[in-house]
Amino acid sequence: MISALSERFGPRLSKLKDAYWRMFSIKEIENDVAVRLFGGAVLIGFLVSFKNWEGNWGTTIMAKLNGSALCWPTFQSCYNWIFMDARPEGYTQNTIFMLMLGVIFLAAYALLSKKYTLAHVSIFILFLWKLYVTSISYRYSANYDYYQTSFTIIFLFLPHKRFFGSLAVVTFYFLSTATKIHETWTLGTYFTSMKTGLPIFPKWATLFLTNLVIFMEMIAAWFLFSKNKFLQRTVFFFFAVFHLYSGTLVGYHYPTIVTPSLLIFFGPLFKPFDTVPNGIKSFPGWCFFLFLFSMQMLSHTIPGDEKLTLEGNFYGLYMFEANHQCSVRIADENDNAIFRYDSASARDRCDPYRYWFRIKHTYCEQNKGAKYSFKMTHSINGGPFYMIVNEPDLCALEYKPFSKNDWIKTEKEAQPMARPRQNYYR
Amino acid sequence: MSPEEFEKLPIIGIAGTQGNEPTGYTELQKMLLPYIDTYHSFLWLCFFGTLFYLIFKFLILPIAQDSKKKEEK
Repeated sequence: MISALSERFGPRLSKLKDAYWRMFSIKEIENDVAVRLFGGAVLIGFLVSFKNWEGNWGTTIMAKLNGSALCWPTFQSCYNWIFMDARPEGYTQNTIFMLMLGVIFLAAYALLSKKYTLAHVSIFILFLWKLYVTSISYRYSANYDYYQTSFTIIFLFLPHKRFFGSLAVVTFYFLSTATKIHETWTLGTYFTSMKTGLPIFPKWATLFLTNLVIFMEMIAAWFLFSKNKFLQRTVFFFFAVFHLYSGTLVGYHYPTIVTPSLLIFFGPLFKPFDTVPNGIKSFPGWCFFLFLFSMQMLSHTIPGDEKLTLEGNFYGLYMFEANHQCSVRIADENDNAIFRYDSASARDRCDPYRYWFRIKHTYCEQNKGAKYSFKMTHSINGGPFYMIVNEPDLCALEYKPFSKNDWIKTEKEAQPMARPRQNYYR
Repeated sequence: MSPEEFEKLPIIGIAGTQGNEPTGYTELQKMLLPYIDTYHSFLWLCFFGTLFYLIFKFLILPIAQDSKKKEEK
């Protein structure tokens, strides 16, 4: 029976496998140890991301019901796509995430035992799951999610995986400087407006160090590709230490996703590229990088400082884009506060969209016709608290994801209210 | 807003920052502040300059040379 089946479907399956093999350039995984290790780095990324997402209520029906689920500004109807329950209400989400843990183990086994098509299919499944979960939660828009998704796309779909994987590491350093051309980094005000300042280094050194990072990421990072061994190793060593140092603020998550790819492509396995791929096969790769660049530049096309208004801030990299403090008050028609929020945590971005979305999906939907006033003051980098939102009717407001929202005032339109005190990185 | 105007604003501490020092520029930052816009323009120039240089040298030029070689053949 089995032999009859394999006789009948064997050639078709083999053809299908060959087509899959060619379509996703799996030969590159087979032939290059660095690409295989890159697959391992992608798996570590899934592991640390899913560890934090499993059991998180933000993607569950409960969050949909109480209005705490947060959709992307580009996909504000995501509530229709939320179907999972999590402990204690149910187990759907937990079950699927445990299934995904099994798929991570399967992919790791397949990579180690040279079953590359199986490894690829497994990582493809993980990618689809991540895509779904990310699309229903704006909370999963962190920089490390952006990195991990991009690395996965390169590993799964692009020809010239080693080249584009290496290029992604350097391009992300480079693109991140687009958000650093700001007082936050050029004067170092992100850190000097914190009570504890930069870890390890004295306060006076802040400005020199932040500008050194800009220089290293914008210019020196490209020397990671250099044939000059001394230059290449020096820059590599700088970034390896930089990632470990950054962990004193950001913790394990970010260095765990970024550092392995740096080590794989530019560490002992580094081989300089003789030529840059420019044939037809490289076209999808270049399109992908053009897309990354466009997303990074998007916020600069919206008037106002995106670090204050947060409009377009999350479409590209935004690592340490500004040190935030804010105060939000939403009140009913009798001026009784229905929502109050004060934050002095430097990394809590204080995005007006978040508060607007939450109240719109709870109070506005439950009490049609009611009016809620919305006031928000926001300070960045220890600068003035600006009244960036002061609206009498939150429910009447709409949020445009790619252009200026008139109800969010820029630093030129908003009134300065007060001077903050030094805060903390929490 | 100038540093002098900023220093005149009322000071408030929120969410556990009460008792901390008010924010403000250090002497070095104040000294560099008048030049910051020029410096940012210079950095943008470096950003786009690096980008165009790399694209031209490693992508456009080799493609042009390849097609020239093909024509010569």
